[in-house]
Amino acid sequence: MTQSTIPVPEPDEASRPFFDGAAEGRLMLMRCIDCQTWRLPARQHCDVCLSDRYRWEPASGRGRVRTFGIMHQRYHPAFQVPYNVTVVELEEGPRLPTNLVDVTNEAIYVGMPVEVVFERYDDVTLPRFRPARDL
Amino acid sequence: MNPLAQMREPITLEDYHASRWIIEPLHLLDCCLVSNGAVAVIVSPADRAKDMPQPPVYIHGMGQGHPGDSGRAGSEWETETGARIAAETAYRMAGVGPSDITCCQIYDCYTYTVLVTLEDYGFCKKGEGGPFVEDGKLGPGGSLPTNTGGGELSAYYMWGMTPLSEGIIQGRGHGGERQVKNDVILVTGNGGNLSYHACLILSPHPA
Repeated sequence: MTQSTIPVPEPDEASRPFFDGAAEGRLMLMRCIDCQTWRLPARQHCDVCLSDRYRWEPASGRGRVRTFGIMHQRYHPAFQVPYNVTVVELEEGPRLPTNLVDVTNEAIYVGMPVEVVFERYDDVTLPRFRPARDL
Repeated sequence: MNPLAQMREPITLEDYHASRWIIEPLHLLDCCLVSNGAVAVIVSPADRAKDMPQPPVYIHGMGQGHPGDSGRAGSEWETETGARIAAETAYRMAGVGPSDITCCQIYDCYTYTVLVTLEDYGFCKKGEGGPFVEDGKLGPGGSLPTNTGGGELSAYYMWGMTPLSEGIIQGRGHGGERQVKNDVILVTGNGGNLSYHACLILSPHPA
């Protein structure tokens, strides 16, 4: 268990498969049935073909750091600064805002290969990423 | 130089580096101000403006660009903004190009916003904004005076009205000791994540 005092997302109908997948150790993404484009965050219509048909598929959980920032300003008392906010470009293409763990802020770089890990809070499991171990 | 500016004490490069991190790589002095205020602009047909108490500033061109693709797979939205599309439209309408612009009033919510905007307006190549401004050309006495009133970083943060208000002050010739060559003034404004952008090309000379 990690400390549960940080504010965590409340899954709703649209995002529940994402959080249910995380609880089971899988990174689930919405995907268009008609043109196969991934949708992240979950949304009703496809960016490319506007289809409203989709299914949920597991992603590989691997990606690379696209960009990141180190937060020094404390916006919430539960967050210990400095911490990183990182956008991971998943192997499948979509970009997921997250945090890197098991790495010092100084060691993060754009293009860094990373893999998903899951951190359990009281009611919700969140995907985070760590440096990739097997390349 | 702008009596209305919130921040009027000169700063040095050392002051900049010594200012605290907000979100690294952005220091406090990379970020715009928080301001309370208001700006109003009167827009009228050119012939009606002749009799107004203030000298008119003419709109020669305008453009918008709203790719709205921030965060989307494959997008380069962090460095390629809506300004590129807006620039093309406004330059064509005004019949000018980057080399004709005599001063810029650029939306500067953060320091780097100015660099990517100058790149998208064709003043230099993509990725070369830093070296382009290194010689001080944007500052007092420089060849491309920019944000002459202090911009959102030093004067006041009134969203797109900050660059617009200074564009009009310069266009009227009311800049006082900060007045620069005002023949062709570029005014730009951004919305969310630089993915929404609009601009004007202004001049004291009738279109």
